[in-house]
Amino acid sequence: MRSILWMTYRELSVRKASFIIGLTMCGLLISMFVSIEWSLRSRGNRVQGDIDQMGPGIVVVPPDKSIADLRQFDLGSRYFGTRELVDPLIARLSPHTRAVDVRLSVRIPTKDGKLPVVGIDPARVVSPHETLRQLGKNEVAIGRELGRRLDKQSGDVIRIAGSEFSVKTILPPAGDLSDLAAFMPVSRLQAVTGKIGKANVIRIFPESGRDFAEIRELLTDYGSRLHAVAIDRGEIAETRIPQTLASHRYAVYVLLGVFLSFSMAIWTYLDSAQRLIELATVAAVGCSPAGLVGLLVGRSAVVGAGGALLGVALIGGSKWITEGAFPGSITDLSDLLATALCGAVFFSVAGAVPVALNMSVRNYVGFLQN
Amino acid sequence: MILQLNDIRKEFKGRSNHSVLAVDDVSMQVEAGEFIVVNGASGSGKSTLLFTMGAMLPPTSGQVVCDGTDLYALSPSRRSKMRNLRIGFVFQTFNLISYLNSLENVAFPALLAGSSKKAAMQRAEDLLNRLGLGERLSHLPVELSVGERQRVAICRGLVNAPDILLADEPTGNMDPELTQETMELFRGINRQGQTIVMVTHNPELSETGNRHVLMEKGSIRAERIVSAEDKAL
Repeated sequence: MRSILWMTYRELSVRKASFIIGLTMCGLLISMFVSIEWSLRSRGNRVQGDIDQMGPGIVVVPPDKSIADLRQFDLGSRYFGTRELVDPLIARLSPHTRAVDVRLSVRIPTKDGKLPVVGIDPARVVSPHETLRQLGKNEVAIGRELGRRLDKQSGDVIRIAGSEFSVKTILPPAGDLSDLAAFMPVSRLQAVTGKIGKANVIRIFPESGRDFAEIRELLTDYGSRLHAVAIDRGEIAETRIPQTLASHRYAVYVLLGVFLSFSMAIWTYLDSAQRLIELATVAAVGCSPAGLVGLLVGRSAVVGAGGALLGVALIGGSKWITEGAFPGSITDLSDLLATALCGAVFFSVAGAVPVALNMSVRNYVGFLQN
Repeated sequence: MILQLNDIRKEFKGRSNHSVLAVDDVSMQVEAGEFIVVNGASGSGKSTLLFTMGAMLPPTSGQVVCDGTDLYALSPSRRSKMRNLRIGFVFQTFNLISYLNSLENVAFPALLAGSSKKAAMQRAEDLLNRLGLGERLSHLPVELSVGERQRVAICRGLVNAPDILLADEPTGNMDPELTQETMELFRGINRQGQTIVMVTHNPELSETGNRHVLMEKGSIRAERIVSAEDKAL
C-alpha cells in the first residue's frame, strides 16, 4: 500500500500533462455542481422563506404560558432578559435556524379597553407584511380588525401608553393575530412600557430539515426559564415541500455523480491504455492485481480531490470577483467544499474501479514481448 | 535446483480460431549458479518459454516448479509475490518507469516487497554504484544512454536478490560493442553466484553462458554444456 501511494505521488508529480487533463475535467464538473448547488440552495431558501411567512416553526413563551395565552395576548408578567437569555439563545440557535424573531407582546390599557400591542424588531421581523420592516420610531401598523374596532385609518394618530403614534398602515387581513394587534418597534414599546431589555415571545424559524426535537435539545439549558412549543404549519409546508426540494437536489447530485464517474472511467481508461507497457512492467516486477487496482484508483481519487478543490475555487473565486463575496456564509462554503470533496472522490473512485479491475486482470505478456 | 520445468506446452488461440503452438513439451532444470543461454530463431518459442519461467504466462499444460511450489497453482497475488521476491526480469526494451529516476526504478520492486524506503533506496544505490551508475542516480530514463538504461534494468532485476534472473533479448537493440559490454556485465554477475537464464536470437552469444539451449519450433533442439575451451574459441 505504501509503495502504491509513493508511486501515485511520483507519477502525479512528474507526469503532469495527464494529471492536468484529469484535474481540469473533474474541476469543470465540480464547478458545474457548485453552481447548481448554489442555485438550488438559493431556490430552497426562497421557498422556505415563503413558508416562513405562514408563521414560525417553534414559538418560545414564558414558562407558565401557552400558545392559547399568546393568542389572547395574555403572557403575564414574566419576561426574557435580552442580554442574559435572548442574545445567548440566538447565538446558539443561529447555525440551525433561518431566522429568530424576538417580540414583546403586551396589553396596554386605553379608554377603549386593553389594546394588544406587539413590539417587533423591524430589521429582523419575519412577516408577510413588508410595512413592518419600514416602521419608524413613532409609527405603528394596525391590524385590519383592530383598525375597524378603533375606527383608525392610515395617517391617523393613536395614543398608546401616553405617547402619540402615527398609523403608518392598516395591515391587510391575514386571518391571524396580526389582525387584532398594533405593531411598533420593540425598542419604542420597551421604552413606553418601562420594560427596557425585555421580551416575551421568541419566534424560531428552523432550517429546512431540522425538527422540533433538535431545536428543543439546544434549549435544554434554558429549560426552566422558557416554554418552547412546536407550531404545526401543515404537512405541505413541513414535509412535502422540503421533501420535494431535497429530492430535486438528490436527483441533481446523482446525475452529476454518474456523469463524473463516467468521465473518470473514460479518463482512467485512456490514460491506462496509453501506458500499458508501464502497467505491464509494474505487474511483471511483482505488483499484485490488487496493487494495480490501488494504483489506478488512487490516481483517480487524487484527481477527484484536486478537481473538487479546483471546482469550488473556480466558482467561489468568480463569485468573489463579480459579487465581492461568497454566496452564503463561510459555514456554507466549508459545508459545500466537504460535500464536493467527498462526492468527487467517491464518484471518481466509482468510475475508476471497473476500469482498474479490468486492467488488473489483463495478460500483459504480449505488450512486454513486443 | 532453482527452477524445474515439467512438460511445458503453450498454445495461443487467435480470434479466428487458429491456434499456434509456441512451446511444445519442454522440460528442463535450472541449477543454482548456472548461466543458461537460450538461443533460437525468431518465433522459436524462446521468449514464451522465458515468460512462462518468469511466472507471467501460464502454460497450457505442464508445471513450473520453484522451491517445490508449482508457480501456476498459486493465486495471482501469491504468484506476484513470488515473482517479486524470487525472480528478476530484464526486458529487451528495458521498460523503465518513465517518471521514476534511476534510483527509484531500481528501488521500486524492493518497496513492493515491503522494504522500508530507506533500505530500498540504499540497496538500489549500492547496486547502481556497483554497475557504474553512481553519477546517474537522479536521472530519468530519457536522460540515460541505451547502455545505462540496460544497466538500470539489470539493477532492478537484482534488487530483491532473486534466485534467478531472466533476461529477454537484453542486447537486442545494441551495437556489437555495447553487446559485449553487457555480456561481460552478465558474466560478472553470474561469477558472483547469480543464476541467469538469457534468451537471445544472436547465435554469437551462445557461448556466453555455461549452458546453451537451442530452440526450434517450440522444442529444445539441442542442449550442451559450454566448456572453457568453447568460450576461448
